[in-house]
Amino acid sequence: MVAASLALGVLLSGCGSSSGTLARTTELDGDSLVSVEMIELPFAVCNQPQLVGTDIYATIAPGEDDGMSLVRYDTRTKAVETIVKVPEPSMIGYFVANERWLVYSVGFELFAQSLETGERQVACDNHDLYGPTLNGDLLAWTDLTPERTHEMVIRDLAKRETTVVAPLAMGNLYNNFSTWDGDRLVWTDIVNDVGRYRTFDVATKELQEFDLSGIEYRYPGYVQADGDRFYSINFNDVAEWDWATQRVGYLSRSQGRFVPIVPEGFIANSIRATDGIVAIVDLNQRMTIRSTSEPEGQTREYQPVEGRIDALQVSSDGTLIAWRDSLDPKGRCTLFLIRAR
Amino acid sequence: MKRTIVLMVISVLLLLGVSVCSAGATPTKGSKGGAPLNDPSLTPAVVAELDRLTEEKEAALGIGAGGVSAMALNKYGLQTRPATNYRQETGYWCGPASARQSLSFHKTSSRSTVALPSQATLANRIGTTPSGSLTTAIANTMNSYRGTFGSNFNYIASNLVGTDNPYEHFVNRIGFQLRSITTNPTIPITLMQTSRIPRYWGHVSRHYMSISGINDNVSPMVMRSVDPNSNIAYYGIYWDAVGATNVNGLFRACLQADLDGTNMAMAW
Repeated sequence: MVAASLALGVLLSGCGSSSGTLARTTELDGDSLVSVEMIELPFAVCNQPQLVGTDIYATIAPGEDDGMSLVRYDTRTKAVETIVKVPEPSMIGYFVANERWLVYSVGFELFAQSLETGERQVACDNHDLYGPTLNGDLLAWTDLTPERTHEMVIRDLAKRETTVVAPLAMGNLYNNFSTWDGDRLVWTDIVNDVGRYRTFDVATKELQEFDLSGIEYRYPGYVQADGDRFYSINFNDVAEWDWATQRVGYLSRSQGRFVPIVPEGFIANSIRATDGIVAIVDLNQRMTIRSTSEPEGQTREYQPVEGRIDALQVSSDGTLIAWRDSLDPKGRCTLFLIRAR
Repeated sequence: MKRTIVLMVISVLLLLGVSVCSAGATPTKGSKGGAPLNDPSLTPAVVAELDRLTEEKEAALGIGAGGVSAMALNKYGLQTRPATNYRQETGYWCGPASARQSLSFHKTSSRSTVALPSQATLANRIGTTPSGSLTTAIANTMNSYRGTFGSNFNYIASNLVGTDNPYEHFVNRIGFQLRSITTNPTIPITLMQTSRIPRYWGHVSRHYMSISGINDNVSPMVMRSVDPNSNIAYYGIYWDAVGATNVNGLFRACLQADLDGTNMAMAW
């Protein structure tokens, strides 16, 4: 049940690092990179939309006294079904989904509802928890223990078993958001003032670490993984975290160094990586996409959607969802389903 | 407005024969939320009085029509005031915790030897329930400590929606309160929809926090959030981007919370 029961092989890899030199950003041939499908939902504001088959699941913004709902939108019939409703003032804080499960948090509880049977289980009861993320039947999140320490945990929703993968040395701040790269869970941590990327391989039970010492932006957070690269928003101060002082880049695991992919001073509001692309939303809510197989030093980017993008999500099939809410309360939010070619 | 939209959607669904399931019991453990959508105390007379007080305070500071513009560069520069960060002790005490954070500044500046009230005391005075706190009650509670932690502050509960320029009002209300030459300084307490704050990474909640700093020497303008979140992933002191109506950041988060219901956007 706990880490001690796992056969953990720990590899500490002290990576060299570089600030890298950025080439001038040029236009990427986007048509060969991604396809874009646009869908409007009959709600002005939606949160955390997920594509499952031909359905869009999303939580919709609260209405007066009507609480908050998790809804299913059938993209073929345009029908809307309310799956879960919580009365005001409760809110659905986190939501993720795949073809098997709907997972959502209300207050300090995390629920998983089987799409096959409709049966609901309490995945986590009365805990502080952060950033749940799904991979098949495996649900990972960062958990706060009664001793006020943080742990990365994985729950097998089919077996209803929760396993502690590893403790976090600095569980607050930006380290609480993990991501799946195949069957490998990836997250970040700060140990002895050194930022680290950490991974746990579900099949081999092997833990790996990659540290980021010796560079200015040495505290990675919000990690996204794609193949050899761990993309992250990196910061340089843990005393008073400054969102406006950051650097987006990736750790090349094979090369053992951090490679920035945006110019100094660039500020990202969100990043997501999936299936060979990484999407970045900047401070002005403009989204650009880069190929994750670009040679180091290449900074070609592509803007597949004009105008504002409010947020990004990646669905379990790898589809990137970029969306913008309507500024008109009577309007509709617009989703862009972006698929790598 | 949103209620109307939801009712319309449900009506359409019913007409289409689509099932709307209530989906089982609502969980009851843990927190319910930091702030209800609506403030039932806001009768038309109360709203009119708060609008009058808001205009009066803004006029005294030169904010609003004919007043200063937040668009002016380096108007405030870097301004910070000391406010101690307290982690909220329950999932729905962000209002009391924010009040305590802001009171810590008044205690320091007044050199009072009186101990700060506990979050429990403040929750009791504010009338906080598992549904959260009301901005009007937070403002009234803050003012009830005049005389204990100094006498030169006056918190007003105000909206952003309905003003001629919500962004200007948000920035100027906070900027003026934090600027050193302000004669009646406060540490504004703002109600936020956290999904509009980038560092929250999409997490949805209605949440109070104190604002203890502003820096418009940098672009984009940033403000210092003193975040009491019980989730210690979010608890702490952060310099967050202010954003705009269509750009995520503190302003958009506050405006969204204001748009969602009648509970007022800020006590400042």
